[in-house]
Amino acid sequence: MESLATFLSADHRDCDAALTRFEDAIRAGDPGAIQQTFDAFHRAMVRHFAREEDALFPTFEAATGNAHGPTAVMRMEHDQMRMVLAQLEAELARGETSRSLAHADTLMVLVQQHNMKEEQILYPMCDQVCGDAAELLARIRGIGED
Amino acid sequence: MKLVTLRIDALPPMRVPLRFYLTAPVFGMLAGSLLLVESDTALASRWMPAALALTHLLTLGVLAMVMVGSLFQVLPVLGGGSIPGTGRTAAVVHPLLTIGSGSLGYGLLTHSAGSLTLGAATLGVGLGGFAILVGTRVLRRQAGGDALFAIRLAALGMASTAALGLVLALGMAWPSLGIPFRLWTDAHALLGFGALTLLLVMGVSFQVVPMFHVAPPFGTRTTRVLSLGVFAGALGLAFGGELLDPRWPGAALGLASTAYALALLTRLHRRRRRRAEPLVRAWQLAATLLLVTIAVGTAHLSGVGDPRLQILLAALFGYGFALTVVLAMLGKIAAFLAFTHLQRQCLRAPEAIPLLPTMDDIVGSRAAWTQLGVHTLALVALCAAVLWPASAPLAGATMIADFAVCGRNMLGAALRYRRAERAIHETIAATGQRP
Repeated sequence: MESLATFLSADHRDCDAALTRFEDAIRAGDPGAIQQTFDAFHRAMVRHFAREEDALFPTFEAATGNAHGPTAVMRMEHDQMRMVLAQLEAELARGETSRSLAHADTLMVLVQQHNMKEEQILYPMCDQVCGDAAELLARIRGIGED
Repeated sequence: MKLVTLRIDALPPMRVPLRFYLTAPVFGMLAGSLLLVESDTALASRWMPAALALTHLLTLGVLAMVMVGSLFQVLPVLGGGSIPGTGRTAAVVHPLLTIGSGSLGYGLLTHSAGSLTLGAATLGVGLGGFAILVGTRVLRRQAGGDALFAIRLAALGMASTAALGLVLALGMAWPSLGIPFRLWTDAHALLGFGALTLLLVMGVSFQVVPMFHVAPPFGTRTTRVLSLGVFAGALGLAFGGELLDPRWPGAALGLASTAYALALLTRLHRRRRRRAEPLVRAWQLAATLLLVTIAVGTAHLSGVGDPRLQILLAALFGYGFALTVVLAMLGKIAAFLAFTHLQRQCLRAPEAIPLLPTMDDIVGSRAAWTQLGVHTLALVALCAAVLWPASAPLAGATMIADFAVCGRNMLGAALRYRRAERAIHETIAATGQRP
């Protein structure tokens, strides 16, 4: 059976690929493609945050009785990423492509150091403590599925 | 439950890595000045006092300084947990490493027994203690992926390099101890370059290259085989003595390093993030320089007797492979740390968000390109000076320029951080909150 770590790490890679396509579009300078790839990246990020904040983290917190440990840190880092996403969106709306690229670069570093912590520490812990992983995984998959 | 108490918010205070990052370029400029002043002898033979001092100013004062400072930031992210007593530990290790690098450099240059002893003692306590702390309190955790496997081996390499260095420095200060210098110096250098530096860079690249550049992963089996190959090869070459034909461990080290360099180049070539940034070019240059180092090392082990080959090897590996990556990573880490500290302060006060710089505002890509360009020039000048000694003063001057650029970038990042922090605090205070 697919583990939580495998599924959620693959979800990270989908977000990375979406961000890369957005950066490529900015460099190519096609306004339509820039908006389209940004929307796709934004959707992927929002869906991933929801999968964690609405399903994974509450289950982990219930299983461990700790809502102030790693999940609180991960929620704070999600807020940091949301902040940069909002700045990026605002620059994009102003047509400031070079500032958008600078924000995208910042976001990439922020995302990757966050992903490392989740993939190296949190997800393996979740696989150990989250009980019925099949049911949880089904719920996580269901979030954001059209 | 023990697992849940694991801290993953172990972002070190900005001042912790910054003190190491601001000190390293000073030692780099000192090394360049030494090469400029002692241009006749510094590259003439690896046994010349100026050559030994130059090597240690660069390996301890620059490489070890940056690596130790970065481990405070990198280890928690890679899953090893935070270094115990982060701020206090840094406040002890940093002055010990600074005093130790300076005294050892001076002692090696002048044969001053007092300086050598002071250098050995401070570095033994500082670096040895740090390696033991990292090894026993952080790296024994079960968490962590492919990177930590290599970094655990590198911690062993650091402890053994430091132990051998300690004995050698004391042996030089007190000749009556009768230390077999040539043999143990070779072992010290092989462990420091192979079992410590190469493994540490490999470990970081296993994690950082696939993630930051959206490249294919190295794979657990590959990373472990390569790390063990490098470690065993370096160990065999260092301690094989007369029991082992050096060509066997040399072949293991050469093959594992070649496979690593090719794996790194392949992954960078297949990265999905096509942005041509200085860090990508630095990794590509480093991998290429590692291949050149292996070719020169093979010629040396095959019996090409030119003594300049040994110095060329050290220049290509230390100044080329290792320092190219270290200087490029330094800009990224400093920018990230400054940004993330500032951004966390803005989380409570959205009105301060417009004051937040991007990472590119803190250490810009133009600054990073300049660093890579000047560093490449300094490397070419250094290698040229090994082969044509008359050009050594030029190598010294470009080395000074290389670290002046690094120092300017670090100082710029620190000042930008302080300015932004002050502005954010003023904005937060205006909202009636405590910064």
